Amino acid sequence: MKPLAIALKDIQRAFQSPLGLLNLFVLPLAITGIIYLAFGGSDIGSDIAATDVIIVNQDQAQYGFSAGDLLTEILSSEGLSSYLAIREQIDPASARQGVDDQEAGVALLIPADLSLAMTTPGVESQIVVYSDPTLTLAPGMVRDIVAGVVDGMTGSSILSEMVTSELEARGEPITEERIREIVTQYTERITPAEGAESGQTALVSIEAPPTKADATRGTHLVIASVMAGIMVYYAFLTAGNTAETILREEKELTLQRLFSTPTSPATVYLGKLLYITVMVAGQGIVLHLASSLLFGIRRPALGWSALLLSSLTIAAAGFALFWMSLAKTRQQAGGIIGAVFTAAGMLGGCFTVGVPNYPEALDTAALMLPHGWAMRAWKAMLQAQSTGAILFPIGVLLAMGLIYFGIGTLRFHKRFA
Amino acid sequence: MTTAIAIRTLHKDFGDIQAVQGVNIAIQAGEVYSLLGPNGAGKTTTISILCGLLQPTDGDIVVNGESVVRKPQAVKAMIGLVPQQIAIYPNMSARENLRFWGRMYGLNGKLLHSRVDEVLDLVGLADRAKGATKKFSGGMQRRLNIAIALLHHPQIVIMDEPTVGIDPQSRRAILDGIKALNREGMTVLYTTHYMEEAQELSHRIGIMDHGKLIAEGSHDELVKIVGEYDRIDLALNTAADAVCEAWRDIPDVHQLTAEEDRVELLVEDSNEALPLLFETATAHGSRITSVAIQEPNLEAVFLHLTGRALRD
Repeated sequence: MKPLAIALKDIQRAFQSPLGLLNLFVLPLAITGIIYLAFGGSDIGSDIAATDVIIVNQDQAQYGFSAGDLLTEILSSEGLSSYLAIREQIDPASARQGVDDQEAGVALLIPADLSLAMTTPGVESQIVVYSDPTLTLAPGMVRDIVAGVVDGMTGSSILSEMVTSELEARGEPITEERIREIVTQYTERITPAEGAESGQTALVSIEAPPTKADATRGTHLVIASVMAGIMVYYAFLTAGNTAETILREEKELTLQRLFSTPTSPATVYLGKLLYITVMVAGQGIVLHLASSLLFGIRRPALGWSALLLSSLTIAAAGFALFWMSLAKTRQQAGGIIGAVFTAAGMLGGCFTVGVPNYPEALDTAALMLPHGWAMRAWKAMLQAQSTGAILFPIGVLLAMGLIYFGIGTLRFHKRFA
Repeated sequence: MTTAIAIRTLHKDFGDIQAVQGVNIAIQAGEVYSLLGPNGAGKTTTISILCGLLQPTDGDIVVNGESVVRKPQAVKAMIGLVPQQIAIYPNMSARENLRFWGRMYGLNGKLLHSRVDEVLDLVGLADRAKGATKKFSGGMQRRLNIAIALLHHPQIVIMDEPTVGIDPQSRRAILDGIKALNREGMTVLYTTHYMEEAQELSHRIGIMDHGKLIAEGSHDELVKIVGEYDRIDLALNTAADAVCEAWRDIPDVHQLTAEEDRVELLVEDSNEALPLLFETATAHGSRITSVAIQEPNLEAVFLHLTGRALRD
């Protein structure tokens, strides 16, 4: 019962400290909330307001093919209708004025010689994307689509040049009908699927998301991973702050008094471990529930979550006891918590979980720390990987925690023996 | 009488520093024993070993037949330590503190509840039991510090300078409390560098200096070491030789030591001797420029034994 009494006393003291409660629950929840809002909050996955786009298509068809019509068709496709509201005008100056007056976000000016340039070697043309400088998404989308289509159509120009040369070499006649046939076949290949009637699969296919849930799944996964990173980081930080009570009690002289009572050092350490465990696990559960209930973040199965949270708690407690055993004063402990625990969180991948193309070397380096294994286990659970892929990092995490705990306890025991 | 605490050839080294050097003390059950000595004499180190907080370099302490080296937990259960510094949880109330420390001494349930109430009454904190102790005065915190050590009704209470830095009223209350505990049969080991506290409380006193026990006995026994004479230290405005010869002829003067213009005398009664000393000095053309009178007490004993004042 003595370990329980020690743990309860420490918990009582922790809950009497407003700053402690701030660090324990408020800050992690606040950070999660900020990230949640940064990802769009409750509107995750909802439609973005469509940007008005004016198209001035002056292109003249060549051999029955119009590159301007093709561009207009792609931009007007149903898949983009959520993001781009297309309307056509005749006068380029009016279109530019429309953007200047903020009646539209983008004006796409297609020149008369675009198709000629696409089908005739040596002829150059220029498409103008005139856009509101305050906008990024819609102009970027239009530019990317135009660039993609133009790249494809440039291929038709090269192809027609090659075919012409080949026919000339064979001595076969080069008719307008033949060139039209080649260009038509080529452009049908790059036309969006919904416009294709040849039965062939189009190179470009723009489709609307089938359901909102499917669209938001990826975003939810990212937020859940970020939340896991915060939880792992704060588990270790909280363990550090709670383990620091050993040094606090040493300074307050109550630790020495504890050792003067018929209470063995092992009992005292067990009480401290129990305290750290309760605080870290309590924080984890609160963050777990809050992330689900407040922010709607999906969580892995309860059993897996409980297993990982238990292992994480033990690992964090061991890690914290080890580092606190190296500190001789509370000031040193503060420095260790501030520097080492933050650096370990960063190196362990707690803050970089959502970073795309994260260097593999750093991802591997993270495995030197229990943080890295905790993150690996979380990711495996969130991505519903195999049982082995989840259990292995949990096992390593637990082993690392026990080793840290053993060394830390021995150091404290030697110090106060 | 049985021996409650037997300190046997105790040594404790901290690197090159010999904090305790071969101390032997036997404290009888029901006795108040004071360890007197200046700061750094080795008192707290000796007590820390007794409480199992430090391992001795050599020697042992046996408490009611149990060795602190071999069975520290058994010894700890028999003693209550009042540490020199206040060791309580400041953001917890007095009652919460006592309940926690009671559990550490193995108390539970109704016994714990009743003992908490009893010690709160004993130290006069019953009406302040619910307030956070960080708002207590220094004296109240000292009293709570003592109350914690009494929770499990120990056979032996060890008090390490419990009156340092508190007001006279609180000091008086603590000293009276110790006497009351002793009347109930509790053995008390008390360390202090206040000789008047040691004199008032103790059946026996051990004087420590530089890690050694340099004298031990009751107050009267210790005072006899320096004799039953008053000591007078004088300074003259001239060389003392001629005056000293005349002073030696005064019947009250038992012993005289002179060095240049300073003279140390042991006299039967300083009140009777002083007028004669002044008169003789004037007659020999000398003038006394300073006088210090030391009646026989523990301070004098310490000075006699070490050549230094107790508070040096």
